[in-house]
Amino acid sequence: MMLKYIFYPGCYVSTMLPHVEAAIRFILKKFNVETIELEDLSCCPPKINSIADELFWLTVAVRNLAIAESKGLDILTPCNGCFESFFEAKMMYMEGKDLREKVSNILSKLGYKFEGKIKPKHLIEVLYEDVGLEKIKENIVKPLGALRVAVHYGCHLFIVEHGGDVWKKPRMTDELIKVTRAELVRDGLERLCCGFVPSTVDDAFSLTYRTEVRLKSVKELGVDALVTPCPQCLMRLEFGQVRLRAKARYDVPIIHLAELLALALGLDPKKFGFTVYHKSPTKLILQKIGLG
Amino acid sequence: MGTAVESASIEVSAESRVLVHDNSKCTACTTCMIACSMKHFGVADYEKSFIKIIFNPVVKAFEAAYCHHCDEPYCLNICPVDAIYKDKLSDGTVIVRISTLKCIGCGSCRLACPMSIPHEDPVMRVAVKCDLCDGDPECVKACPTQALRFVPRSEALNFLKKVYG
Amino acid sequence: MEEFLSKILEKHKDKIVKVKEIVPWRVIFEVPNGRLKELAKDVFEIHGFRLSTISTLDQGFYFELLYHFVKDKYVLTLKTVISKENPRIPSLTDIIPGANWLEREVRDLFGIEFEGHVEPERIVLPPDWSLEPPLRKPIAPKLPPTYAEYLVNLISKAALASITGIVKRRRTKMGLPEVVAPVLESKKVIEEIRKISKELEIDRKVPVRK
Repeated sequence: MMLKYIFYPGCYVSTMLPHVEAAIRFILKKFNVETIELEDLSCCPPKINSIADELFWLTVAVRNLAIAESKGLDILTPCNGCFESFFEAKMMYMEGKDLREKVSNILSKLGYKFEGKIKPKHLIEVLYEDVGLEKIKENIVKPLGALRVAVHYGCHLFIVEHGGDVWKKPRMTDELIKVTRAELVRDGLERLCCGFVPSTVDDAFSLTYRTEVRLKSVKELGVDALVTPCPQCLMRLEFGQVRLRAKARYDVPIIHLAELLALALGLDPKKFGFTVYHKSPTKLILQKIGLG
Repeated sequence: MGTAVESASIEVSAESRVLVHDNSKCTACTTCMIACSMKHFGVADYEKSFIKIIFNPVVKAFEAAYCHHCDEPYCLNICPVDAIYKDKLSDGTVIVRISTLKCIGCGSCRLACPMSIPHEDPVMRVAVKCDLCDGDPECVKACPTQALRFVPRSEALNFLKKVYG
Repeated sequence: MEEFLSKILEKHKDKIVKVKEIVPWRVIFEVPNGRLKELAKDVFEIHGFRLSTISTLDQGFYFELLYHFVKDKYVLTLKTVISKENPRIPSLTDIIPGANWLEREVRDLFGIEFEGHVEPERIVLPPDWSLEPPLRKPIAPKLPPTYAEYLVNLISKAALASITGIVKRRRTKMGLPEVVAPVLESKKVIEEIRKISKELEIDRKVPVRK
């Protein structure tokens, strides 16, 4: 059976990390996952909006889900933020009766209807559950046994239904890294916030007490790369290094999980700008695996 | 609303819900602090937040400092103008509140509190602290990792006993 | 209480709700705010007191106004209470001209309106003062009147932000579609988001918390 999803890259991946999008598309194509892009989809929007106006946030998010439901397909997103937003929106919409009535009232005026038949899926879930580890293992053409990597999950990957196992998706991430044969090294700070959310309030604080703490710890591990499934973490940790340069040089290559998988699955790093568009020295990774 | 002295006799039952923070799940993203200050003051400001995420060097983890809405609040007992009172919601949740109308901003509650939770708001010049968002805490809704939960006291006690012995 | 003061009390028994004696020659009569003017007129015109000052206390839910009248060694304070929702009281300026500046000061600092004041202009604060009365205790944190601007900004930054030319070139170079949802700048999407925000009246005032 062919897998089919609505592909929702989110604003970060599509506007600032096109190389990650290229890697994701390569992986999905490799496993015959068909993706559809819809022009009608709007911003997810970020969950933090619900503090200002819960109903507005929920309506816009459920509108996206309703559009996906009209096509009868699940939404596939590689962005932790978008995933959280859709996931929470669906949960709140299905649980809260008053909210559901209010939101469906507004949406019905625009001609949309959502019944909770589809679900938002993170790229990790799609790869781990729907594609399957075995299938990925079979397709590995370039084992990355030479690499020692650390992982950074990103806060919003922990989102689950109430009382669920918050470590479910992070464990999937670990498995997906191990499948490339890369060695996973731990420092116990995997779940620490990258500093992206705090930077909206106090940038200097977040840079010193979140971003730098994590970078320092990874540097001490002496790993070849830090792998993250979250586009915001990727950007924060990369730009954090650039901004901290005056103080200290960390030079830790930060790559997206999809890029790691794409390398293992045989994508030519030159084709998707692996070394060009990163702000961290990703060249070191290629040297290590003998492609640079 | 009765007087502060009358309200002090409101009993806190085991069903009364309270915030509880799990440091093994917290990622220190501070979304709870942003949510709190946005909800109460309309700005994203760590200083104004009623919940604080701080690093605990003893257990090497991020902990949250927040109001526990004590059974016998020190702040209520020390307040010289009886501005602090207990309030019981329909679901049994007891909230220790500070009346901004009565408070004179002396700071006694901050000294009395074992965790120095009430702090002075520079604009209102009175003490402010967590009011559990009237029984629907915004920080719990904002937490992405379910490290913050809003649970009955009995459950919270069991959990904290397990963690801190 | 000295005889001179108890005589006044005897005469106006029907208006006075509470009496407090500090020392025999200094007493406080508590009166309902509707009857204060009658009593003050009597005290000023017949008994020969002068209005020394007016002091005001913000007691949270209400204001306490204290009119201090003095004659020789006697000090008579008329105390009255007015609600915060409707802080109005009849002015004494038509019977006691000396109350003019005192009332204007209270009006400036506490925002209490003295009805029928002969010269209702600012005295302590600058004429262009637009903030709250400075001595009045704030009731609740100041929330922004609306979040509409903030929300629309955020949504437009994320969803409707255009992909820059350089990114477009990069994307096509890598074989990606030039633009992709949700950064399409699709007119239809913008229109629908506008409709939702209108439907929800997100520019409504944020309700004031208790």
